[in-house]
Amino acid sequence: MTLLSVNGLKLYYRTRMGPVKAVDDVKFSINEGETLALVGESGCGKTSIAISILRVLPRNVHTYEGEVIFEGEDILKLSDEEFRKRIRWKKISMVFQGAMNALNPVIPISFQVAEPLIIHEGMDKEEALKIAAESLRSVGLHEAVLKRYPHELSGGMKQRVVIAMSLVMKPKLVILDEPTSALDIMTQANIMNLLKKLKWELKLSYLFITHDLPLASELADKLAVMYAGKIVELGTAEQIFLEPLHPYTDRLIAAVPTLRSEKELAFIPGEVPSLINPPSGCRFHPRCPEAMEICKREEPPLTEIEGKRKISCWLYQ
Amino acid sequence: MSAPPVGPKAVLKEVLKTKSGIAAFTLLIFIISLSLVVPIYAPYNIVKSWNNPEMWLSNPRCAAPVWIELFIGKKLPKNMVIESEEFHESCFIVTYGNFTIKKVYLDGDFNYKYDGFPSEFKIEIKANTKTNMRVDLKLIRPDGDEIFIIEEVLTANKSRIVLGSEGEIIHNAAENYVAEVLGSKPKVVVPQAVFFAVKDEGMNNPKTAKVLKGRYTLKIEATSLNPEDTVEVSMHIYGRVYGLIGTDAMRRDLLVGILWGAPIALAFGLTAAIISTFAQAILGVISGYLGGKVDEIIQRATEFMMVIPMLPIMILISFVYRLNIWTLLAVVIIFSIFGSTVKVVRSMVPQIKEEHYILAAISYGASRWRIMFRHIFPRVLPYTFSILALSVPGYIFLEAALSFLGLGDPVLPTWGKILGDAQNSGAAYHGYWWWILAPAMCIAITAIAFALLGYAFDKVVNPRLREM
Repeated sequence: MTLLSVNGLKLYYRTRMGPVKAVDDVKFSINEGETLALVGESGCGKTSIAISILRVLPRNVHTYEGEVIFEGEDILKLSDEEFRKRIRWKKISMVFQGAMNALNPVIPISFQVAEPLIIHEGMDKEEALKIAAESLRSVGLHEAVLKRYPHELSGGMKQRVVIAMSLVMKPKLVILDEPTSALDIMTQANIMNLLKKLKWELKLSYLFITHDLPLASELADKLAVMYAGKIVELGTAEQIFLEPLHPYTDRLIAAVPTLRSEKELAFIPGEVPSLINPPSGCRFHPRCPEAMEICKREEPPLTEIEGKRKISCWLYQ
Repeated sequence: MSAPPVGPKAVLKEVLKTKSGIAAFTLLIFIISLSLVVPIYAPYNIVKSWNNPEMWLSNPRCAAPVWIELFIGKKLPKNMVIESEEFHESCFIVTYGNFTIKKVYLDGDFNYKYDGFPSEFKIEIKANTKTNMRVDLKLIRPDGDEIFIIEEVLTANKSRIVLGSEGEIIHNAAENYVAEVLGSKPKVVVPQAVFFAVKDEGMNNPKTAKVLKGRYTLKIEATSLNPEDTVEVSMHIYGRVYGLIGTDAMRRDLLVGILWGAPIALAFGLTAAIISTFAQAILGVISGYLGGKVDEIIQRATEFMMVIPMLPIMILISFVYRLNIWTLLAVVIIFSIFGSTVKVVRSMVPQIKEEHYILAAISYGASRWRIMFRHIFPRVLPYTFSILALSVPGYIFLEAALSFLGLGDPVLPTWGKILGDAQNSGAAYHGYWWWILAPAMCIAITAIAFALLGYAFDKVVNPRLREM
């Protein structure tokens, strides 16, 4: 059953040079208990999708439109107050990028984990702290951590605290924004295992945002590859990893380093295009080795091809 | 670089590790202990009558602190009181037919053993008579000379005379005595010197006269026709040294004033600093977080208030409204709500606002006020500690300045007021150094204590100043 479906979502930021089209007409959906990994280079609009779903927008929003249907209801149409009361953290929560910065250094862990409960459920402190302790235990932390301040914890512990924070209200969908990017490889593995375990135990759905393809393959059921504010390829993890169709996906996978191999890492020439003035036609065409005449003129639609995968490239139309 | 400590306990611990922190706390403990001594040494009923001259009549005027003797190596006179009970009384009643004559002899002995002359003295005679009573008063010196002072008839209406060393009667007595000894009337005479001086050429000048030490006797002979009549005499010799800090021109014990100054200065400075710094920090947070029009209004108001010179306005207000210390405090706080801390905090908030935990707090539904006070305010709080400590001396100086100008609290003694009194009585000109030094030192010590505390806090909580 579809839990979240996003249709024609647009998020433009206002700047002096003109609107930045960070999310431009994006469409995808997540089923219950499913994990969708959103992969792409830095600055391609992954985090913008996350904040437009959770509606934590910066001040300089230019355009914010589209449909975000969660459990059959267009949550984009809710008023701010209603959204705050009903959706945030109760239904959709988020693990923010960089656990180091996602915790307030001057507030003890206990209150940070318990705060959503105090705000939303109007619980008294003791009760909220009890649930916070439970939540910390579920991510494998000792209760003693409650009394600590963030600087007394290691990076992995902080990340676990942030995950505990996101789970404290038992949401259905958790947006994981680069949850392991600041961690070493062992801690990363630990956290990934924890996320898997929680997914099974709590029947969670994840929107997993990462730039790390191998990591995405660990957790994802479905994969969406983003380039310059648009989704260029969408399919199951197996389909995309084993048989990448879009030239960008192909290059992205080729750029992943492999252990003990002599091959030179492939890279994509050129740089990420400006989102203020994206290239005409297919946004990837200036860097695409297989660019054709049509790619410069017309934008390829996201069309479904065989095996329920979707691709936005003139090669497969 | 180590991270700044978190939580008040950790900050305090770190502060106590720095040298300036230790110095600051030592000085603060000193000032606080001054404040704690107050209720023991000078309860409120004493201080209430600070401006009542009657209260202080028994103290010497402009007396130096007692410990000055240690430095000049002389024994300076202290207050001596010969109460009426100490006088040796002998009484004769003689009857001639219808007449009864009562004669009362009173002898008061005292041992004058100091190296200096008293600052003044005072003799009080009180007759308890229904008709009249003749009183003869003379002083017998250790060298056997008698100084005749007065012969007076006291009546029921005029039963009490007070003879001060400044008065005409004593003055004449001293003049006559000098004339008797030296053969000619002197141009000027200082009775408190002449009475206690060795007989020689220089005896009428207190600079050249030598002190005659030994046993003096004050003799009174009273004659009355009524056997029930009585007479009482007391003598008060005022010293040149008094107490730990001495006295001022109104004979007030300066120690009382200095001690009372400590809690007043602390209460005034701390209250004003705490309330204004927190108010400013809160305004800074609101201004920085909400931005837009609110920001604009708060920032412009702050600039406006920062440009206004505070002291002239405070002088004007105190002059027009005669404020007491608490209304003065309220006015000071009102004028300090928009101050430089608003700017400092406002400059820190935009950075904190962009931190991920603020975004996280917004996303889990924390309200704007909750974010401002639970998440942002605690972040800027440590920085305000040092600002707070550093702003305390400013408020103490302000209060002292107003008191110095005579615009402070009309009842309570404050350090500034004592300094103002000293200035008005020309203490510096007359060399009453203790009167200036004591309050000035207290103000300076308090200011230094808070300044050091501020620097210590700054070192601990400001990451740029933290040592490696």
